[in-house]
Amino acid sequence: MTDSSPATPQAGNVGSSPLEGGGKLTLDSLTEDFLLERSTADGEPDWLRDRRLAAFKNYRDQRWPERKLDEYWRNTPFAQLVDVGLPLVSRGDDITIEAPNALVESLDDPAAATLLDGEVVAVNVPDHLAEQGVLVLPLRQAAHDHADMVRTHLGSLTTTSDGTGADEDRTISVNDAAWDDGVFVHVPAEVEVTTPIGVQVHVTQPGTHLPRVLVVLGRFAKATVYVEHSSPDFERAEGTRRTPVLVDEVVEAIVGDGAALDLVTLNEFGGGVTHLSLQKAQANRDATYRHLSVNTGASTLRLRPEVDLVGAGASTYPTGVYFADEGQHFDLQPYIRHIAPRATSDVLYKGALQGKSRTIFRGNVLVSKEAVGTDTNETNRTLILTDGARADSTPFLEIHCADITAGHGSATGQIDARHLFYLESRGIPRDEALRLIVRGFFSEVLERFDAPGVRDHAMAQIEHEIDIADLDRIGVSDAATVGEDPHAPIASRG
Amino acid sequence: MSQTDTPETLDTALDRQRDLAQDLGEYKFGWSDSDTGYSFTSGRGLTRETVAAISERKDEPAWMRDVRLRAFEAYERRPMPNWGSDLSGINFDDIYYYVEASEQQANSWEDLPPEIMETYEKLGIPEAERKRLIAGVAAQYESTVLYHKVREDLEEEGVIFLDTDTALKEHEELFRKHFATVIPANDNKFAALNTAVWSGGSFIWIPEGVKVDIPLQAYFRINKQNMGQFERTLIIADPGSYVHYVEGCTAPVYSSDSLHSAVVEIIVKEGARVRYTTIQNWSTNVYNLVTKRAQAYRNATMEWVDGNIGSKVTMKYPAVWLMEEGAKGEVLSVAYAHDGQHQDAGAKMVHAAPNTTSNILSKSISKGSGRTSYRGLVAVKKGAHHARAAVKCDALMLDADSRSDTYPYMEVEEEDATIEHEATVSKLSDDQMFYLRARGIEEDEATAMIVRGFIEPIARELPMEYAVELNRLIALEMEGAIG
Repeated sequence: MTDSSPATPQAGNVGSSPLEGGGKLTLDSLTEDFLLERSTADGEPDWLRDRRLAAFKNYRDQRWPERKLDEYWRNTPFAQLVDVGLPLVSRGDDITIEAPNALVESLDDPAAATLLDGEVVAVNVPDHLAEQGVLVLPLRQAAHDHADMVRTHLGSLTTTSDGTGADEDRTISVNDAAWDDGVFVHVPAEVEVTTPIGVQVHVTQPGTHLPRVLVVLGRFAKATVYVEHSSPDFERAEGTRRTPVLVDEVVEAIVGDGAALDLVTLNEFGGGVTHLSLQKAQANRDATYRHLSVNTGASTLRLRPEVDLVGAGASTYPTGVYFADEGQHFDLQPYIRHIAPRATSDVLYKGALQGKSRTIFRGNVLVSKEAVGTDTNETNRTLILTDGARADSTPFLEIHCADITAGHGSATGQIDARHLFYLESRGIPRDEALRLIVRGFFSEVLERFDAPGVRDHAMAQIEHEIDIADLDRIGVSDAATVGEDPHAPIASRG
Repeated sequence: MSQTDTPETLDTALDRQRDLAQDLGEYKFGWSDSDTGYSFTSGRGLTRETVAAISERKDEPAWMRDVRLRAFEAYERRPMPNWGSDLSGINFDDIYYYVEASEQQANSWEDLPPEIMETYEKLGIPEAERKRLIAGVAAQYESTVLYHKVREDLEEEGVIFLDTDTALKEHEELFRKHFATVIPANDNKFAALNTAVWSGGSFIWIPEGVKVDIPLQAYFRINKQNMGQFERTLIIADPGSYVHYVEGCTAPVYSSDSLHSAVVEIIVKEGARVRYTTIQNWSTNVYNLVTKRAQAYRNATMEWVDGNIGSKVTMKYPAVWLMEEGAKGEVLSVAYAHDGQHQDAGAKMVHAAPNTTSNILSKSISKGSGRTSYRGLVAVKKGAHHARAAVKCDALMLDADSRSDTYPYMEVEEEDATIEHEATVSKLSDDQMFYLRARGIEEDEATAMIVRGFIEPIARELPMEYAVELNRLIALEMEGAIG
């Protein structure tokens, strides 16, 4: 149905190589010819080509998500927000801007790679890590040089057949089929990397980007990985909620038996970007996977931070902070699947909103029948700072096993007038007091993560949001006065 | 039947209640009256003609017939829900949409046909009546209310308590003004179905300032195989009034699946308070798909007490729309699912005005392969400042095969609102079990005690005979439970 889309006449144009028209192809007009020819031209191994073609078949059989038909898209209207008619940006397109400094660059000789508009432009692996077998390299190259490992793990988390309720949709199969280049990170068994490894995804051109990141930690390996997203601001056309940039991303992380991975994803694209991202990990026996997502960027962000706990005794701590301001739409969907016994998960997401913004927290914890001895907790807290924002919170639990401990909680509210009163009565000016309260709110999450630079960076992002806030408009709630005068003076002062 | 019994001692009353609960437990093992004596049925399946025929049979005004026909169109247009429970087992073409057992409404107990009287004996209604624990008993046998008695002092106060069909005839203006205003015909597929084919149910109007100090009560029964029951209840509480309505549902066991799809609309005007209590114990072949919604106006209070023990599938989310300042909504919900059952129950609170408060407490127990789901919504609309909502869901899972889900939706469009949700899921506590066993209590009884303790916060809100019934039902369901 998409091959002959009349809106995209360049697709599979007659008489010339589909590759030449590749820059004009869109997500909606992807063709088998294009994939086949690009794969051949790049000399990809057969297994990778076949895998792309298999994903393309899924893509061809699927439709784009619809809010009324797809429960997981009910809060993010795909047709209104996501433009699948934007041309694919591919390697070789002019690169005019250097990527900004990555967070890891302040550290001492970190392993790092930068993916700039789909091309891996800078890779650094310090000698002492290279000697231990640590790999950071372009994914295409890894598909050749480390075929066994990439073949085993690439796409292992995007195709689920175990009926665990995965949200497989076209936005994922299209990345499986058409990702251009990405970054592969491997830490071999029993190697501990103390300095964080940086992966930077920087976008400078309008159009569609399909980044891909694969992180593999061997048995008892230990590492911290930062995945940073950045871009300039892009102008949005009048009268549309769609953006000129679409980033449809897949990050897969395999955490081997007894291994420990700390993954920090900074989802901080500029305005005018739609960021769809599956950030999914698989935790094997006794593995520990901690994830922090810092979500302040992009006009539309739909983030799926997911974890499959497939090994007994695995534990995961998915955490996130988010701060949405005027015009931003964040749909955050952490999904934890307890598939093995005695695993632990503790989800904590805290967010704030100001201006006309919308956030959705849709958490889900699934405990399968085999997952005896599961211990799980899921918490979401949202602070609505100013009028006009809307926050939805749906912390789900689906439990098929009785022998477990499970809890979840959610609260949405505003700044507590008593906290403000306490600080102001000690001579702290109102503006500063508000700032302190918001910082304190988020620090509960950030304190769980002591990776270098992350807390300061995240706090700076939050400070920036407070800087642009209209502090006079921030409302406070005094729980003690509810039911009395609705126009209590505290709420209207300042 | 004679009402001249001497006052009973408390002990005798409790004994009677135990017997009554025993009886209630026994019918579930299966009995049904013979299939003769139905004076009119609409036949199986549903068409536009069936809907028109039902209306004609009831000799309804033209506007009601038109409402039914429009609702039928909405029903045909709307898709089946693609969430919640598996409803593929319902064969809509195999259901009787209207069945009438006898032409006349009986005015007193003695007027009832013998086999129907026997049915009610098994349900214990006359005992309850004699004990005067309950006020008007609107007993619903099949689709037509047969037996209807309202205590005289209620009538003197101007309370209207009728079956819905009679209310349409006798109080048409009042009826028409409120019917389908809380739940419009096209609200959802099953509300549309009910609006098209509704029959029976209760109509209650409480005049301004009248406080009904004893619960009004109705028993409903499905007693014909493949007969859907589509009762329609409308309660209007005028300013400053109070009423507690109690609905109980029981049905004998049948081999093929049947459908119960009721609509309950409640309007709670300024300063009034309504409590609506249900314990449903449909047999485990019934699909129980019910829409219940109340509108609470200025400083009004609406309380739903909702127990779901029976049925194959229940999808029921009692709702309160808090329409004006100071309105309060409360839902207390207990669900019990054993093998093959799915209780998909919950609550909805829509805060549409400032200074409104809501509270949801849900307790669910799943046993064997049973599945309980809490599915709830708390919405705070723009401008509903100082709204406060609290949701607490606790689930107890008794077996390795059990399943428990929690699907709370919270949608907040107002900065100045406080919403809290908490949930826990646990198995039977080893510590509690050890404590009880160490004191010589058998495992079954210990389990039952823990479960009774778990649901106690809700059981204590029930009228006494219902609390007894609930505990008895839980005890029956618990037999053979493993710790």
